[in-house]
Amino acid sequence: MELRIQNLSKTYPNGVRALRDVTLTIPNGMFGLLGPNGAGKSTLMRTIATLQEPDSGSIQLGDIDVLREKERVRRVLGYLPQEFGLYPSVSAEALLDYFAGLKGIRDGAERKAAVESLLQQTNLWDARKKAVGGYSGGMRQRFGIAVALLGSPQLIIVDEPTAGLDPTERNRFLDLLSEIGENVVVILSTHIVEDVTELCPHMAIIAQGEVVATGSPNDVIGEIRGKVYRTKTEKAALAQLREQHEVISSKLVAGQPVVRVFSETPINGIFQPAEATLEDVYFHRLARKAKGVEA
Amino acid sequence: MFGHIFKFELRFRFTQPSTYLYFGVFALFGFLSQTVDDFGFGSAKIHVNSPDALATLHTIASILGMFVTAAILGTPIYRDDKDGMTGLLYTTPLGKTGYLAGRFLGSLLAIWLIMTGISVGALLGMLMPWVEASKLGPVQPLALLVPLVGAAWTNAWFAGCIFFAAYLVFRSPLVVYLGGVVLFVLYQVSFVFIDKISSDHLFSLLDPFGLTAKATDTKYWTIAERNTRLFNYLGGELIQNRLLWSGVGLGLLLAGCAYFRLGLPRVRQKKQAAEAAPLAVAAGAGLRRSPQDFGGGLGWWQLRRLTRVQLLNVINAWPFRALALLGVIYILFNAYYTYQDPRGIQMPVTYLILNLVNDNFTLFFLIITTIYAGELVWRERDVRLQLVFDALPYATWLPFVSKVLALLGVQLLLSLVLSLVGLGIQLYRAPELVEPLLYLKNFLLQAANLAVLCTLAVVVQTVVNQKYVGHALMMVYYGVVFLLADALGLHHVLLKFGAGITYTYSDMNGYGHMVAPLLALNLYYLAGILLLALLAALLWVRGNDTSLPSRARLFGQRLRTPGVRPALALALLVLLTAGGWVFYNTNVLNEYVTPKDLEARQADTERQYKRYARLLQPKIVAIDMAADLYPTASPRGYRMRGTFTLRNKEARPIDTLLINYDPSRSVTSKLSLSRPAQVLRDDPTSGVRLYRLNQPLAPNDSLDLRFDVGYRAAGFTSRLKGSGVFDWANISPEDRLTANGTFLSDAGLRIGYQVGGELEDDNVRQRNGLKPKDRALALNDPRGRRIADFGPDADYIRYQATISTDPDQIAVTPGYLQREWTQDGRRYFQYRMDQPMMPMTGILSARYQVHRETWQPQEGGQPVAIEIYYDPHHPYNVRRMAQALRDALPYYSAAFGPYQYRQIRILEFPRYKSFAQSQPNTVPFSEAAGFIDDPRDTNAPDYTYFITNHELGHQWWGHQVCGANVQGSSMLIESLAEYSALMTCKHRFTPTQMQQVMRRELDQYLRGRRQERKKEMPLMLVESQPYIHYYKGGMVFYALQDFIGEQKLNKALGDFAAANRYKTDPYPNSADLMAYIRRETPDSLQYLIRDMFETITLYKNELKTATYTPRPDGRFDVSLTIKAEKLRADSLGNEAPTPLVGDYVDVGVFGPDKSAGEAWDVRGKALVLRKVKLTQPETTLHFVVAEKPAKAGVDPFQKLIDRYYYDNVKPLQEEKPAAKPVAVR
Repeated sequence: MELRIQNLSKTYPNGVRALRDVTLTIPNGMFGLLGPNGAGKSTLMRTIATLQEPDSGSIQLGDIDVLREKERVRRVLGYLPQEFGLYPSVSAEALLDYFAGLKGIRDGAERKAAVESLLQQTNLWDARKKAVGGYSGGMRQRFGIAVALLGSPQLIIVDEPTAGLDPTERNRFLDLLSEIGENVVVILSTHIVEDVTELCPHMAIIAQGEVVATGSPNDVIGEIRGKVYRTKTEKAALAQLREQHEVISSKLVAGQPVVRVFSETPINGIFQPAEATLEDVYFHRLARKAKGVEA
Repeated sequence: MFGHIFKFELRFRFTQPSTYLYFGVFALFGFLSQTVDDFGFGSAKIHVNSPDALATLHTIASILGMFVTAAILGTPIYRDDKDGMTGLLYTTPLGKTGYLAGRFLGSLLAIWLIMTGISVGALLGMLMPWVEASKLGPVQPLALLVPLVGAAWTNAWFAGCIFFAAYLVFRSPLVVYLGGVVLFVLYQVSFVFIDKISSDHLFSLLDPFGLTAKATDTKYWTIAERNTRLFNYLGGELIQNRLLWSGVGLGLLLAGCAYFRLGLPRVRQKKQAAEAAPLAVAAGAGLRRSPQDFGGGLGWWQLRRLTRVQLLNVINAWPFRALALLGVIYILFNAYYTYQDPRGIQMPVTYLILNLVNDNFTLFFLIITTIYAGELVWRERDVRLQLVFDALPYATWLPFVSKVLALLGVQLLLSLVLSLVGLGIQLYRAPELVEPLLYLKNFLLQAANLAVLCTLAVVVQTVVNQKYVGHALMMVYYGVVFLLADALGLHHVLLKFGAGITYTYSDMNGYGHMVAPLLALNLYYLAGILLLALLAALLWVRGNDTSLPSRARLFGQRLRTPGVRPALALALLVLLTAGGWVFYNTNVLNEYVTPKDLEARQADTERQYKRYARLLQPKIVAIDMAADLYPTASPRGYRMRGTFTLRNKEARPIDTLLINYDPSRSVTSKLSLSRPAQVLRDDPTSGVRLYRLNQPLAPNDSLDLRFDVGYRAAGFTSRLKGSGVFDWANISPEDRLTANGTFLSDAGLRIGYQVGGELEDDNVRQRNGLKPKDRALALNDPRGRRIADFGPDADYIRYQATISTDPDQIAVTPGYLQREWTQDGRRYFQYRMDQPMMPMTGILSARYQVHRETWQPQEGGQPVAIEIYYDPHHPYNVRRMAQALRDALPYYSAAFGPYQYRQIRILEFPRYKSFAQSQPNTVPFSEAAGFIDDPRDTNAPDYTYFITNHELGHQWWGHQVCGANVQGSSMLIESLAEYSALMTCKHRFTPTQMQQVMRRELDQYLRGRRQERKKEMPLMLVESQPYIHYYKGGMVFYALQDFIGEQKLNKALGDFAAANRYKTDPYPNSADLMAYIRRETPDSLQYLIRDMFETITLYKNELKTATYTPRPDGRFDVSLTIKAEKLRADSLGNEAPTPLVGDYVDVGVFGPDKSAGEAWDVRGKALVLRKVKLTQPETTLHFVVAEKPAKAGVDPFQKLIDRYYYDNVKPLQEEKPAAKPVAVR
């Protein structure tokens, strides 16, 4: 199964252009969608998840025309939105059973087994009788994940799934995803570069509604490999550095700024060549994008 | 901080389109009230912009506007909660007081400005040039401003307080609306009871909106006062009501604010779920891939699950239970007061119990439907679950349908609970009357209606996609379809979508001929709502794209889903078929006429034929006919054949005949004359035929009019709203010829131009281009004196008729039964009256049971057979009726002369109309007017007794002595019948019961005056005004016998009757009677005749102070100060004082009340009761009484007409004997 997105555009009534001519091909396996807040990731994911209409463009999942055959898409879909609430006074077990029914798991025994297994895997087993209204943010997030994984989804869309999870939970969840990710399409949106680096054989960077890079992390990194340099500097000197070089990022390491810059031509002096990371690409692309728009 | 929040709130409100929408709706309401006829707040003599009409407008608008108030004042804090703003807001250095005050006052100001729309709209409306000047009074800004503040703003204030507080405490918008439902129920309770029981005060307070208090304060206001007097919101019941509810509002608001904490809603949780520690190893590693089954039947399977969950969700939550409890309490309360009614109670027959359970619940159900539709439709979005939910692989119609079903399930459950309570009440009061099948049928009808309402509410929420606007739209729907449809010109049942048809269940006739229209219309409504539902389901919001173009695109996409278009086509087909069937019945088989059409027709008939008004016509002197009734045939019908013998009673020959016949399409009239004549003109629209006789009819010569009139019920008609008891003439034949319980008037033929068929109301005449007209001919009009009050066609006639009907029915018409036989499976009855009688020839037929007695006059003479024809369901009052007749026959014979017949019959007819009527030796008596009174209630006055004797009284007053067709004649007929009945009551009832009867007469008269549409007349000039000829007439004659003596008045009446018995040319008028009364009245009381009969005179008596002092001899000195004032009113109720001329007034001192009554009742032993002559506005009286006095009163039994009778009676205060010695008189 392969998801092909072509020339997808969407402008909201308030004038925000959330998607501009997005074209992406997403093969089986984990696909990382990287972008800052407001880049259009959620819009793109909601559109794929049949929850929103684009202004133009098309989406094809295997032989399914996503924008027209919504029923078919939903049958193979597992979707976790970035933000959601739950009926306050229902227990997790009952609610998951309710959703399982809506997912078409009609067989009673199978439904029971599925609910139990997912509650265990999302580590909600002990809290399964509690009303979900009292769940913490992390628990609610895990419950959402359980809903998304119910049934046998072929297309899993998870929007910022790891937000609000503690590191252990995050790892567990990512493991779970990568395990099923081998046979199905999993789209994972995040603004945490590591999530993508660690898991995703394919990825795209999206900024201001446009795809600015796509490919395997390695390919994406390839374009800047050998063109990244780093240096330690003083806070006072930062501004000057930014004027002279294309600064990708600056981080404080032990209280002292460490600056990474991009350069087509070798530079030396205070700079040392550095191993390019996905994060570099990401910031580099975002910076370029921002400038491009300003210009 | 406050200022900031306040401004923010206002800015928010005024950037919302809904604010302007609400304002616009209110303004439109106000505007229409001024510019559209019959909108309801004015009337013929009440200007649409009178203070009274404007006050009603503002109150009603603010009641219907409660939804808007809830949307504005229930939501400010909710918005912060919903948008997750609380975290941000509450962590700012924000004072609770400033925050709440800002939000509250900002919203309050917003709703006040919105409600000002009513006044603005009304003001604009009354300035419109096309509004008829006669409907408008002067533009008084205060008349707008006072109710705006006193009614609309005050209502918005206290309701707003309650809504705001409800949210603060419960943090649930649903509970906010529940508060609204409670207010509505309170309003409804007081509204139901204000006219039912006498304790106005409790219910005036209970109605939170002040409409009942307003009605109480102004119930005796005259036309003049209603047009000019501003409402005093600072006095009377109104101020108490306004203060009470404003205080309740404020109290709840403060309590709510005190309870509220800046923070997240307190989650009602048994236990907070603990964060579970992560498991070291995931149990059963690997992800379970469950097979999904998208095969056939999934949708239905999911629907069941979804509906069950949503239904349980609603009914397991406390708000629903609170609502159900409220409904139960309401019914119990209703039942309690219904069965405690001091004015008598009825047997709990099943249809009355069902009325109790259903009738006052239309609004209740509608509100609950509206609110829960909002909750259900927005359930996922309200908790922000929609993105998870909407991506699940269910069919898009599923949530829509499941929400409709859940909502319907909730309502049906509620309805079931309420019905069970009704059943319980019935079991408690009279278990033998329970009809389970009727409960079931009623439940099904209700289910159909609820299905329409529930679906509509969900459709509106879905399409509008704005919860609060959806609520408001449902209220608009309710207003337009349920309340104002007719005023807005939506008369046809097809247009009153979902409002059902007004049908009446009768124990005699069951649902009868209403079954077909009920089924067809319900099918039509259901098909219509199905179509709407199918379309709305396609607009169901799935996902978060709610822009119009996206929804339109999705709509188009979903329309192409297989099965959708055939379903739409099918629904459309059923709609068109059912609608077409209804239309075929109402507009093709029958003629569809709107009230305006009817008016226009009447006007047209008048314009065309008025010129024949003075055409001399022969009179009917004999009727001989055969009537065949087919009550259960299909179609039902009747055929009346026979002859009218017409005689020229004029001095000149007559060559032209004008015959009126029934122009209804379902009635065919074949007419012919026994003498050669030409038809000059036949007008089937007006039902008029003019004949020119080849040879003029010489004086005293006769001819026969032969008729063959047939009626066949063709389908059903679009029923127009009936307007009360007295429009029997307008009730269509389909309600008169029924399967069991036929009551036909006559063949529908009239001779000569019918003045009685002209439009009466001057406003209506004017809008149809006719000049205003007098209601009656002048007292001594020579033409009028030659005509009976009942009409110009006939004087006393000879009558015989043969009636045939179904073999199991008994048919009756005036006259004595000559012969009865069965032939060809039909039962025949031959009746003949052996003396001339008034031309009232009703025909009744039903499956009757007959109760027979005989009354033998003591002084000899022929015995009188008493026969009561009743439905076997209703035996309760038969003996009481017979007893009433047994009491009245001797009294009337002794006082007014012998009874002219050998028989008196009372016959029950279905409750499609609620009245009794006296025909010669025959009294048709409605099922609803006495047959189901509860005889077990021995405290209340027995109104069956009263009505029976009123009708018997007409055998003298109306049938023996008939007034001329001039002013004052209805006094001779109705007031005297009322008096006759009152006298039998006086001798049969306890003084307490009698006081209740007389209080009712006074009350009905005073209330009637405020509804006058032309001009109030003095009693002896009454122009068939029921409130005068019944109630004032009853008061006056009863008081007169009290003043001059029963014997004396009866002698006057008896002499008058003797002199005028069967008198025709001229017929007597009221002046003739006055001469007899004057003769029997002593000089000192002659002023009464002027006051009571010749003028509109009212007293304003008041007991100012009442004290007593114990005397050493064990007796008591009583001192009373009386204020007395006498007023004369003009025809609109403008009053002017008139001096006391030595008027006699009852003054009494009484012992303690022996039973509970009103403060102004006296129910104790009369220690002193005498008539005192008053000449001064203020008089102090002293009495010595032997027992300890408790109450005293001036005119304590309200024999005189006094608008302020509340202050006539006072409890006595003890005064210490230390005071200076009292001069004893």
